[in-house]
Amino acid sequence: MVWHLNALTALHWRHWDDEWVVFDAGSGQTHQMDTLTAVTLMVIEATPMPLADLVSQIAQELQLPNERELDLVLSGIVQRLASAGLIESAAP
Amino acid sequence: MMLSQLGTHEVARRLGNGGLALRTGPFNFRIRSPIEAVTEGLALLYADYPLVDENAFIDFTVTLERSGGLRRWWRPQVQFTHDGGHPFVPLPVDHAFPLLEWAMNWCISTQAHHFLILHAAVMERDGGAVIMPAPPGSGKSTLCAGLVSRGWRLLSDELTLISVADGLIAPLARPISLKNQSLAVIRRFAPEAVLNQVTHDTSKGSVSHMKARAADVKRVAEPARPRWVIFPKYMPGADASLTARSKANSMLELGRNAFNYTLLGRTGFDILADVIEASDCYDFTYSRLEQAVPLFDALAARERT
Repeated sequence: MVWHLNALTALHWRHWDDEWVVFDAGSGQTHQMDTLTAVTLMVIEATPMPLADLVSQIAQELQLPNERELDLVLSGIVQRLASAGLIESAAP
Repeated sequence: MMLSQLGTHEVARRLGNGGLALRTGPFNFRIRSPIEAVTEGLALLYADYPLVDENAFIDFTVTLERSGGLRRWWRPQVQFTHDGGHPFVPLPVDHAFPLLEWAMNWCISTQAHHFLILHAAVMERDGGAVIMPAPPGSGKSTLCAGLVSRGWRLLSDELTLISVADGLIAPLARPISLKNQSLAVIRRFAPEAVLNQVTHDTSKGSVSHMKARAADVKRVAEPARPRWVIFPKYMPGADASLTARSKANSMLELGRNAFNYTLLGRTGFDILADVIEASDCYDFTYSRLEQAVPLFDALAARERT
């Protein structure tokens, strides 16, 4: 499954230290996020990818050692972003 | 020309005929009503507001009339009419003045979309504005009245108007709505405050309005820049206490307290984010104005140093 931004979504970001808000012009909704969620969404926004690639890229960018633990955390984040209608999955 | 220069008789005549046109902040209102309580309330609380030329553009026309039919004789009611419609249910006729204030707020909050409009009190000191969003019962208007009584400039006790054009806050400087226990609190804290006749048994309880200071009404053309966002909460017995709070969460809470954030879309997001960017955000608990006001004064003083 490749995760990509919902086609109707257009994101606008602001942040203060490690607090993020993102406005989705497609839905008119504003979401509050922590840094890891924001980075996950920005990576998917830049390039659609499967969860495994997402884990590798974020582990590398944030210099996080334990990919197995990160896999679990990102899996939850991806599900929440999908529930919020910000991302969708498609067959590769 | 100020309303006070007309005299009560002329105020009543205009209200009962073509309407009394006056300016409050960025808006021109035409008010029509033959009801005595409306005349008395306006003559007392709006004495320092400028009248508007007959030919000037009127933003909102508010008409308050007695309901017709048999209700004229049995428990008479007052009805608010705007653009030929009746947005509110009729109320007992002795609720006419609070209804006028609520109707004026309704006109602004439903139509003035060149502002991002927050349901929040807002006061200013040394150019910096403190925005106080809060649900009813949080002590927002009481705190607002207390601060204004000790030198903070009143911008509004109900509607924070943030200009879409420049992000500055436009003053309304209308009377402050006080209710129930707040009335005694303010009479004790600021004996010089001018309050109109109390209206009992409204949907909000016993209600009165506190006159804005003439100096604040005079400065309605001077906008203020956002500097603090403070969420007040009255807690019986609590010492006054400011606690820093999350900026992101404050932004979302402000959005929830906005009348037209969703309607303004991306513009609303950018304005609100700019407000948060420029503001320190706090939760504030208090039980006594005597403790609360010095804390706010200290915030302003810190800004000056």
